[in-house]
Amino acid sequence: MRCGHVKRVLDAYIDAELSRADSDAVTAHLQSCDRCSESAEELRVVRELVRLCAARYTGPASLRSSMTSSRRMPRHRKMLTNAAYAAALALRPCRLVVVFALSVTFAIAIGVHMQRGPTDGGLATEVVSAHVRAMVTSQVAGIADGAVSNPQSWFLDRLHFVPRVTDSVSAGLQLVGWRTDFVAQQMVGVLMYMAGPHAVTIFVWPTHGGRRLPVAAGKMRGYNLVNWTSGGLFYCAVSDIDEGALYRIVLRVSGAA
Amino acid sequence: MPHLDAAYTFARWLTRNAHDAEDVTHEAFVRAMTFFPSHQGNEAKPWVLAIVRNTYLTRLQRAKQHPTETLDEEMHESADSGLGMSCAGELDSPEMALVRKASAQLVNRALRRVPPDAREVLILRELEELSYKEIAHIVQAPIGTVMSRLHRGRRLLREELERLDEELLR
Repeated sequence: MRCGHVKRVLDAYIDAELSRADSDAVTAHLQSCDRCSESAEELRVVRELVRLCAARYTGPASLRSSMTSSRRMPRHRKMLTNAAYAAALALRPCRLVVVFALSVTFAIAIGVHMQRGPTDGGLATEVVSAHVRAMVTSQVAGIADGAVSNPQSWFLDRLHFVPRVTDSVSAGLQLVGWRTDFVAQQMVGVLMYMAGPHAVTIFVWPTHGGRRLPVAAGKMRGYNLVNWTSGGLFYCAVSDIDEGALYRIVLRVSGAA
Repeated sequence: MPHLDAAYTFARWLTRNAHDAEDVTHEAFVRAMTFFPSHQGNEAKPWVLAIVRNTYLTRLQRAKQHPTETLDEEMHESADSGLGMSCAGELDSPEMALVRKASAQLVNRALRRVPPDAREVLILRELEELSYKEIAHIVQAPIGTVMSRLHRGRRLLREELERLDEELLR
């Protein structure tokens, strides 16, 4: 399958609307074509963004009550109902039968759960996040790649923001790789460092005009976290290295030192 | 009341304000229940949404013939749309909640800038998870048209998101 054709059916592919044969052909093409792969990832992200963030509304109480009690119906609605009844009586002999061939997958159940409220949302959120994460973390670039020598241009191709970190780091701290990820329902940039035997990961995403945070720190399950905000981007460093060392690393990496 | 929320959500996206959405939804359900009171269950959802859409279009036509009626797609951008909404997710820190709310506002604002024919297909696909065939029936267009609108909608949405993001960072 050629790129031109793949581009045309890519939406149908990620929506699982292609025949099995066509779908396999696209999968095979994506395995060897970086450009189409990227397009597919971008499509998936846009799709998930809408799915997770587009406004869903609950029918207001006034609507529910007006449906169940005809006495409260305003006059024009009552007239409509009477007219509808008359029309229904006339149409009864040629009643329409509507048949839908459904190919409903039960990923929908997760979508329904997500609308229910915070108590049901946790598992659904994790499942969807893991799903999206698997799609966006498949590509990891790094120093060893050779061709790509700095993360900025790599991020520029994949995100609509660019994490800024200083290039010069001393012995003892090495940037070994970078990738994209899906955290808190957003695409984030990820920088992977090694400080001796300790892995230090920095997650970056736009603050979207949120308030500036001071350098903050926290602890969770044996890991230390340090956050900071700079240039409209939110940075979060995570590592098992001790707190003081992580602070020093953050100062170096953020260019504040 | 089955599918009321789905119908109302779709009506909100079509009419762009709460008042008209309520009227459209109500009228659609009256028609649905009057003509086919036996339709229940999940198969009814695409059918209910089709009636919501037809009801909306009929009222739009009526409004054009009688200009005093207030249903007007462009003029009624609701002031509160998107406020209080945030991306689906678990309870978390205030900072994370803020980030999530900002993302939702961004996405919804960008969605509203996508042209209506592409936007309604996007909504039906991503919010209601209807198949192309079901969407084609609701919007009364061939599947090929649905596919191209969806493709265009997703592409335009991405462009809008990037544009909005730039504006925010400036």
